[in-house]
Amino acid sequence: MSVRSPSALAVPSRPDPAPVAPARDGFRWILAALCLALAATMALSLLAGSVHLDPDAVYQGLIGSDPDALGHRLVWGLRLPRTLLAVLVGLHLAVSGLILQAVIRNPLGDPGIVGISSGASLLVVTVLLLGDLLNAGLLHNASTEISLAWLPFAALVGGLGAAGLVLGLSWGERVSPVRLALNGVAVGAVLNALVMWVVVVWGGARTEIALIWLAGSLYGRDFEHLLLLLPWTLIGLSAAALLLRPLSLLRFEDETAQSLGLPVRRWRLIALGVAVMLAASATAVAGPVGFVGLVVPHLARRLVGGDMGRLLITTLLCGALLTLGADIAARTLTVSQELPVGALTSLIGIPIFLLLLQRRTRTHP
Amino acid sequence: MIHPSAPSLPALLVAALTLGACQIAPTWADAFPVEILDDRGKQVVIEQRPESVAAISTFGADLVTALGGQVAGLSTLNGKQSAFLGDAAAGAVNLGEIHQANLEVLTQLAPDLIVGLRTYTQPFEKKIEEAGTFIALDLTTLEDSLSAVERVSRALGEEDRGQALNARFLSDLETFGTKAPGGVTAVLLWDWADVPYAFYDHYLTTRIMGHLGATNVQGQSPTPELEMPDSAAIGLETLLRLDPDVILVFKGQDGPVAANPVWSRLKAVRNGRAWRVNDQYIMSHGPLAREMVLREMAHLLYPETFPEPEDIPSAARAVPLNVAN
Amino acid sequence: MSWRLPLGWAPPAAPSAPLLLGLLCLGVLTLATAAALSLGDYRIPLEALPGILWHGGDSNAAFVVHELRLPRLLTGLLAGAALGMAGAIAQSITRNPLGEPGLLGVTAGAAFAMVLCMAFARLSTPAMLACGTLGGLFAALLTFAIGLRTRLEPLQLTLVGMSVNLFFLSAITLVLVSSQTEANGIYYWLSGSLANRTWEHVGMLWAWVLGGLALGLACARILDLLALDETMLTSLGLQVTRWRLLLGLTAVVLSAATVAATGPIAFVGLVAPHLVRSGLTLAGERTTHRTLLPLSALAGASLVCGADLIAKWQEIPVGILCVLVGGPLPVHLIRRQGT
Repeated sequence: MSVRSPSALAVPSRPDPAPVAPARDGFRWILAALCLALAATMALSLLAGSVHLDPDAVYQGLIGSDPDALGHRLVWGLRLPRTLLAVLVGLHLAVSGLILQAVIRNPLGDPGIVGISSGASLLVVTVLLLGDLLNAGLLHNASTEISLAWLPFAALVGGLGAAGLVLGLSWGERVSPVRLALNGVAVGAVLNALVMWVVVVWGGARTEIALIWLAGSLYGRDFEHLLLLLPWTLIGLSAAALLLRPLSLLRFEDETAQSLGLPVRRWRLIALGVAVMLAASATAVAGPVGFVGLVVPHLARRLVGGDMGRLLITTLLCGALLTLGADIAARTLTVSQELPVGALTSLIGIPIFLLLLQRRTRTHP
Repeated sequence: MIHPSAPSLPALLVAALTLGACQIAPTWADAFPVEILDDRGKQVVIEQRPESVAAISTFGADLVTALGGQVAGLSTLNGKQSAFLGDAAAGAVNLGEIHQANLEVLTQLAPDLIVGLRTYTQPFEKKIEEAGTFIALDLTTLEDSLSAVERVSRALGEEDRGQALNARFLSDLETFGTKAPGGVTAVLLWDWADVPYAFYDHYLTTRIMGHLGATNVQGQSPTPELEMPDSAAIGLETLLRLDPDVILVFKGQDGPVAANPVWSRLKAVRNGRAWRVNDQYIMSHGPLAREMVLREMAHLLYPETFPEPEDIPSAARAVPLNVAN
Repeated sequence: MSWRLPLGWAPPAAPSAPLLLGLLCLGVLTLATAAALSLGDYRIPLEALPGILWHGGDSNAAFVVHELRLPRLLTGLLAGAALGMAGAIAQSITRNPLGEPGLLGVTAGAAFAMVLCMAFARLSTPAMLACGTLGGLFAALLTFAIGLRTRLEPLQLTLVGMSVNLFFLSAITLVLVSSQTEANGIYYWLSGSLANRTWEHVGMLWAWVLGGLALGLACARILDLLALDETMLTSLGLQVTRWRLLLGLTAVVLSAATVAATGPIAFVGLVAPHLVRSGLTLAGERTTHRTLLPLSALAGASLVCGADLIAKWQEIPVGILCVLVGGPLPVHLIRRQGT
């Protein structure tokens, strides 16, 4: 998918109407600040938790070789996998949002909007709540049984399936971005109703677990989830890097992009594929973590302007930062019980989004 | 009212007594390591007699208390620990809500044995196992309760006492059943905002109800070969048609049941036979809970025949149902 | 400024399309009413219904009809009518065929207020319903306040509304997960249900719905005008923003009261006006709000009552059924618009 057609290579080198990008030095400072902030937040994430550990114990736990020390067990067993996973999930969703917004040219481009969250949710509640029922009813003679180890795969399949449906419905003579967004909302609503149905009728004692999954959570995640996500990260990020030039062209009207030598339809499809892959894999391990994909690209655009390369790096760092920060808050804010990180990212993300939206309309009335 | 696939009570009693008798073999004391098949289908090996036990469900605490021990950590339901345990679990570390136990606290506690429910813990079993040896249980029916008590007490190195608890409960069940006059209809409701849920026959508490000669108006599950669902929504119109003599309601939070004129028309409410029961009725599988449920329910169903049991902590006793309006 | 209205006085030779459509809806409603009142745990033969309805009686059957079935039916009827009409108004003022009060943040705002009440406060039913309505109103005002800077430009308003909606949805999740209550019960409510409604719900809804219907009808002509081009409207001397706000608030109050009484029932506000519109277009009739509003209300009521019959039979929350039925419509609309 990363093969670049000759025509795409022939694109003029500076097609970008970047709205007054800050000077290169400015960008460097921003980059440095973001990297520093991310490192600090990761350290904080290792230090914070409902069990108090002093920094020395955490450090000893991280590098020490005593596997029975409390620090080692807390850091390697719980805090480190979660921290790394939060970083990866945030990065996935933010980059996915950036690509989607460029492709559908709509500020509301969020991975949720192409149906990924609702598709993943439907399959997850099916496995979670109907697994026992299906095993006993349909599969009691079959050699395989539905097991909860399938949850991430089920979510991945569901996310990809729903995204495929939305894209298929919107793939007419020409893909209109508005059509895509509206189809996404409609398909999402129907799938969510099915999710509610399953939970209301078969939820029983598992309703709480289902609710937490549906809200997006990193509770109880392990290195195996990280390993599941990592290949997608590598493929997705390299694809995104290769897509930089077509992406900066896709933001224009179709005619403009076409006249600049870009086979618009093909690149749009590839870009959408990459975005869907990134978001679906992140949703598969963490559940729908809302609004990261929507808000972060906007934020990044305000920070570094419109250049795609800079945007990609900034988006990636900001996404990781936001999700990690929200996850720290999710597990330390309340004593009795941790909160779902997805609900927190939405609560933080939406006001920022509205603020940005207002600013934008005020400056460009 | 006995679940069709379930073995009869005398058969269970005989089985329990024989098992108990077999266990008086002298090898039991140093039987460790013990191997237990838990309800995930997993062989759990317990290397040596557990010193500290964490319970991510009331069942574990119930059993440990019944065996005369102290549970090290205990989870909550709706922010509360079960009242029927009294002060038995007062010193236990709070492990957080039953469906999302605090893994850091659990890891710090590092118990020798963790007892939890499969429904709540299975997606996160790996993390729980890293904190300590973990037994996950399915608890719905009478057989589940007997087998869970038997297995977990074996894991605790108290197999004979576990058998004794089971045998005692089964014989109590039979004694109360023979003494109960019968001829009463009843229902066990779990009250959720607008729509109450009623338990089917195969749930342990309703099974006890059946042994006490009462007819559970919700009847059998439409899928009797499955343990889940253990309950289903019951419309107020249906409840009015069935109009049971006794209504037992569990409600997770304070406050009256949802206001609806139907309540005050129900026979049970008018006769003062609608009761708000405590959480041992929906977590009845432990040795203490099931005994308390049996004794209290017998009294609630037949106040003339059975006196009110004295040994239930006052916070865990049934109170008359408070109907709004 | 003179609009020719097809309905009202001169009876045409052939029955007009609005009349037919209205009769159709009434037919569906009558059937649904009869079924809703006579079917259930107590079977009541149709011929016995009028007697029970007028004279009541002390039998359980009469009690069930008066205290359970009638309030449930009327709540559904009023909710459906309110949603249908609110949807029609919202579509006109946002000039967006996919407009719905839910897109102004109302649904989630009202639901959030109700969930807060259920989780943390012990209130009587009327107080809770009032809280829910206020919550919906507040969310909508928030949307308007933010959208006002964009002079209520439709696309921006939809965007803001959706964000406000999502904001309150995640707030609901937080309350659900963190409060010490039964999540299951609140979740059931969140899927939109008419189960076990009482006269208190009806009493709280009817005034709003009738008031809203009357106000909507009174403003039918303004609504016709608002569909026109903005510059033209300003040149006509119409204070566009003010009217939009007023009518928007009507739609908001209608749907907020509904959400408070039934939980979120989605897509009825979207589907009902579209059914009416396409029915009228099929008959070659010109759509004016004088006919559109009452017919949308009727269609909404028929939809909700019809869906509730199925819901009652299986005890599935009616809101879920409405989405399953209504969800594919926007997809279809978008398809048709594309070609």
